[in-house]
Amino acid sequence: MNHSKDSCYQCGLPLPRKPFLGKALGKDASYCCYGCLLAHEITGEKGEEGEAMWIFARLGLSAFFAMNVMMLSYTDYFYPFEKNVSLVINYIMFALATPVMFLLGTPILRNSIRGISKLTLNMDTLIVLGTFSAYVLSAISTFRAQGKVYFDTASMLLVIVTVGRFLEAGAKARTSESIKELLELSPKQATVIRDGVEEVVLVEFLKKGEIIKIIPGENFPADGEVIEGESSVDESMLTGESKTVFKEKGSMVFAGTVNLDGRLIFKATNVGEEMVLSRLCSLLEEARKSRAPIERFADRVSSFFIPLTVIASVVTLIVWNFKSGIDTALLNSLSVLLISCPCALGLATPMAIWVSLGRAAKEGILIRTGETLEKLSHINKILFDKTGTLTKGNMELTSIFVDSDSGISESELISISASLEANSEHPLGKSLVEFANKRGYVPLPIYQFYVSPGMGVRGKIGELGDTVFIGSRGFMEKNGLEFTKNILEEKTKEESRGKTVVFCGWGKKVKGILGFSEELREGAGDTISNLKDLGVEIFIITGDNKYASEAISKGLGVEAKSELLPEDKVCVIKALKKTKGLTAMVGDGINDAPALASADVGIALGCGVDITRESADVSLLGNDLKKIPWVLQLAKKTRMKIKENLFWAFFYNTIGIGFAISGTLKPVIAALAMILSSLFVLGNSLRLQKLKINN
Amino acid sequence: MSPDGNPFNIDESPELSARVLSDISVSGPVLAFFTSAVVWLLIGTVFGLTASLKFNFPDWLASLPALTFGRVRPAHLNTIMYGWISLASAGCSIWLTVRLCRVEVRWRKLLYPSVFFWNLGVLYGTIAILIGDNRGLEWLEFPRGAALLIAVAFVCLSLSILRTFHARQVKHIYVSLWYILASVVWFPILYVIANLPFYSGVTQAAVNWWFAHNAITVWFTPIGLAAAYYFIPKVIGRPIYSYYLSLLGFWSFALFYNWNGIHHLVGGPLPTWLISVSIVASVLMFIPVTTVAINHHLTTVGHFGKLRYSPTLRFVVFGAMCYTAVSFQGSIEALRSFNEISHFTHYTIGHAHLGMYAFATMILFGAIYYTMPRLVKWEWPYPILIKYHFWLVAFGIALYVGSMTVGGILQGLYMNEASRPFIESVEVTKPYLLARSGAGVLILIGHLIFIYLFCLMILRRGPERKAPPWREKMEVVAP
Amino acid sequence: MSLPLAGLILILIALIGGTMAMVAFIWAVRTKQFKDLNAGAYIIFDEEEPVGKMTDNTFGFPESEKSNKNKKGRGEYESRW
Repeated sequence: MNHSKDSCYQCGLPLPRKPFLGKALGKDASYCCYGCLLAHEITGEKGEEGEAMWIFARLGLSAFFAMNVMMLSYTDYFYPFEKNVSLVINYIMFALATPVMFLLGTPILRNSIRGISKLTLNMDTLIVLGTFSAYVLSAISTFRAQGKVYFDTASMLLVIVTVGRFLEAGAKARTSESIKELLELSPKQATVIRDGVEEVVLVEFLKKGEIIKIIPGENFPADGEVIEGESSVDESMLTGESKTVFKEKGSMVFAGTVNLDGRLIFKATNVGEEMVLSRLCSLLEEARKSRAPIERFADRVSSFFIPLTVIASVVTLIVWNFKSGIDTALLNSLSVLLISCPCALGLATPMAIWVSLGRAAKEGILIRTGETLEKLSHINKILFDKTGTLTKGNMELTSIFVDSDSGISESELISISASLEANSEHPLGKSLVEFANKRGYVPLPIYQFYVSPGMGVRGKIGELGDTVFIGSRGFMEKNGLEFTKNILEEKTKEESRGKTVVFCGWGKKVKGILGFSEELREGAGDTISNLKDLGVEIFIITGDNKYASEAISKGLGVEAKSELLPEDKVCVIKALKKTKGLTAMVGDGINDAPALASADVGIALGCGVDITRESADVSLLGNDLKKIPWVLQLAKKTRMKIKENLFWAFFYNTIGIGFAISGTLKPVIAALAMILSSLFVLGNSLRLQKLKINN
Repeated sequence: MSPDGNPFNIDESPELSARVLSDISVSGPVLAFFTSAVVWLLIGTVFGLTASLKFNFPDWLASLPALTFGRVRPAHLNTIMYGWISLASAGCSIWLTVRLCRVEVRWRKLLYPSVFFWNLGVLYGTIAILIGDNRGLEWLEFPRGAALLIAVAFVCLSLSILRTFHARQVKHIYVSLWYILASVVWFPILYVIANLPFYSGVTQAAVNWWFAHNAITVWFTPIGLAAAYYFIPKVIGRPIYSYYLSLLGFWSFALFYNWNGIHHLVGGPLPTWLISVSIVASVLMFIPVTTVAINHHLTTVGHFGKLRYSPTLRFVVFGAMCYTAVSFQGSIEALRSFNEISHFTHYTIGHAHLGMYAFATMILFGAIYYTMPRLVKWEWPYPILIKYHFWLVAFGIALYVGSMTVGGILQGLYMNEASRPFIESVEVTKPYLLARSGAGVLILIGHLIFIYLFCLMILRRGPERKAPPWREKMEVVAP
Repeated sequence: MSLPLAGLILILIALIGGTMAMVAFIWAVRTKQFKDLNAGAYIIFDEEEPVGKMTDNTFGFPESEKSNKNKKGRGEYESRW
């Protein structure tokens, strides 16, 4: 929760000119309204959890009052009171209903006023019209000692609507201060060299131009330029590149990335807020703030329905005035307003959403809000990050080529190279060893082992007299190994397929090629085709190089944009958002966080880093890509359900309005309609649990 | 198991110590409560059977004023309510409180006086009834002196429980604890108000029945439910099906119960609106009752096989089901249309016993069967006798309630027929009253078996049976 | 005491009771009694008596039905019921 000076401590909305002052955690805090102040006093919580608790407390208290009102009302229905008893009972009900109007009605009233000031009519306006008119009418009847009272309708309506709101609030997953986590990628301390002496300082005190030393395994504390040393660096979380990057004198390094195998000394060029990492944070923050809520479906329906209701009410007022006088006219016209707002309306959306969210959760899909679910039903474009999303994020050994002139077999090559790489920290080396283990190889003893960072490894193995070399082309050439024609031909072939190529050789000759490619996730292909069947346009956006990107996108039959920085990804999304329909983004790495935040719906895979999960609208626990088309279908079916619910709720309504206009609306019918339509909505929504969703 | 292989190293399991320590800290007082409860169970059952037999043999023992129906029946009611059920509930509530707060009991010194004054009060009151000094109000027959003693005793109990609650070592208050707390706070207040000397006439009647019903809903029912909510999941080994629902049940329970009492006076000379409201409230009670029923049932479903293992489970599940039954029965009984038939008949007695026996007493049996081994560190000696106890009283109460229900309905129907002479409504009940006495015999035998077993436990006699390993550890903690 | 007066006192008691219930409810919300409801249901268990383990076998029912069927005579404290 943003505790800047301009927003309310409790809810985060902007502060008015004269904020309410209170205390939070011992320090002074400002609130936007008395409600938030009270909320914090009572719940001691802030943010979404505090919201939910506050609604719950108000709900509990109001339920107490409302149920007592109901009890008294029902008594009157079944065993009608005598006139003088009725008068007293009405006052009691008035006393009981008033707190309900305050506790539950005022926030809804506030919301609807806010909406009206923006010239939109939403659900809240409808609810306010119904309940406050019922309450006022009943109060008038009470004090005039004649006429019917509808305190039960007014209070129960508010309770049920708030229950709906509470369900929605409770369904939100907990968010955390995820921006801070991003900054935690950067280490807390760094080793600087000042005047030739090594010192350990806190990262906050790093100055631009300082000389910093970094050893293998550490994270870079600042952006900079290498002045001494060589190493491989893992930049995947920042740029999304699958390959490790070789850094030497003159290369740029970035804060937050991981130094793999060499010692480096670099000069800091950007520290603190100027680091690429920090810029990512602000990108993320901005993207979050700029999200506008969509107009909820129920609101759209309401905006159409309310004017109709008001017209019907006015017509009733006029007609009955001429027919039977102002008293009856008032009564009937207010009855129209009253009956037009059944509980079902308040429940139609939340119920269906609640059931859906529950079902999704069972499948390991955490959907953050009901709004997200509604958005999902409109998605017609999906962008996928490549590394770690469509692919597993690691390299897989996919081809082995042995020079036919070399005189060794494939398994010999594997055996020798895997034995040498047995202790390697390098991802490619590990991948090779994994492959060999699957083949069941027996490791040969190693006598020497040297690492040339960013180039390769060499050592002596078993009975082989010569030193074995494994590494890049440059490494081989530097150590005087000859490339045969076969090898060169194969190399070209592999590279054009987008593979990463590693050479292995000894005795002055390169003997074989190991080709690595990215491992696709299981189900990636099926997912893409399912989504295409659903009519969704698919794109791949990645920070990786063109060849690696093409290797994947061609295989899946999808368009791809490669070599994108995080800012570029956001631009792509922004451009797509301008077209019709909503856009979703699927990602996992930190570099995806701003993109996920700027898309209409951001979907994070379970393998992703915490911050991505926290800033995404949908979190997939686990890595099953097939859940994505599943959840789109769920969203569509839920939208259908909501429409069904609303349709039937209005159907009952309309009948009720008919009664009201004709002047024959009895409170009993109103109550019955309320219960019936609520039960229907409940039952219909529960069917979502069992609904078949094909995949 | 500690590194040196010693299986009884307590330090490795602090939670065991807390639970064991709390059991030990309350064992004295709880045993005192249970023992005196069991004594009153015997006395009350004898009174009950005697009263029932008087219907079949009206002249039996008619020469002894103390044993006339008009005295024996209230003696039965009070010794059972304030003696057996109250004392057993008191013991049960303390034991549950320390378990759920995970502390040792506080203000233990108040509990023994509580037992003493309580028993003294009930004794004084019972004797008063038998010699004819009866205030004439159902559930409030005891002279005010006896009521005062009981009130004082109850307050001592409440204070101890509240102080223990204050010292709790748990953050979450389990639903059973909510029921117990509500009960020990409210019941003394209600008891005192009911016994004040300010009322007369219709007012007195209204207060009388308002209280009588509250005794059930604020004292007996909460403790029974608290026990059920604890023992059912604890014995089976799985948590309550929907904990959220149980809390909803508690809070909605707190809402409605207060209006219910007047439903005992349907058709009486009270303002119509008051009676109407109480009827509606009584019907609305089915909401919390349903939540309780759903919970208990769905927690047990799929595990009914476990009833073969545990007597506690049998008694408590039986009791919990009967709670649902008696509550629904009560809601319907409150409706004027039904009440016209059932009021002033044996139907009401059947309903009362469905609640006080089939629900409250059975659950208390279950509670005692569970807690006793943990208090006296001895296993129940003859399980087959426990089985006899269960089946005897189960059949007994079924026969009782069945006969009184049918008999009562017939009685009421006959009474409502203006053409029928009154005597016919009496005649028609005779076979059912005989069946009721038969049921009473079964129940008495069952109780005798229970009392025998209880005595064996207190004295730690009978064949020694092996306790489960974790209970053996108790010996090591506190030999 | 007249009926209206008694009625008044009754209502007073109901009000006090209601207020106490409300205060208790707010207190419960404040002390987070309604948070993490699932955990609340588990509070009756502990290390020695965990979920899944029955805590009462007074009838000494044998662990497996099979062993019971094979026995010729019944054990000392076993029974068909």
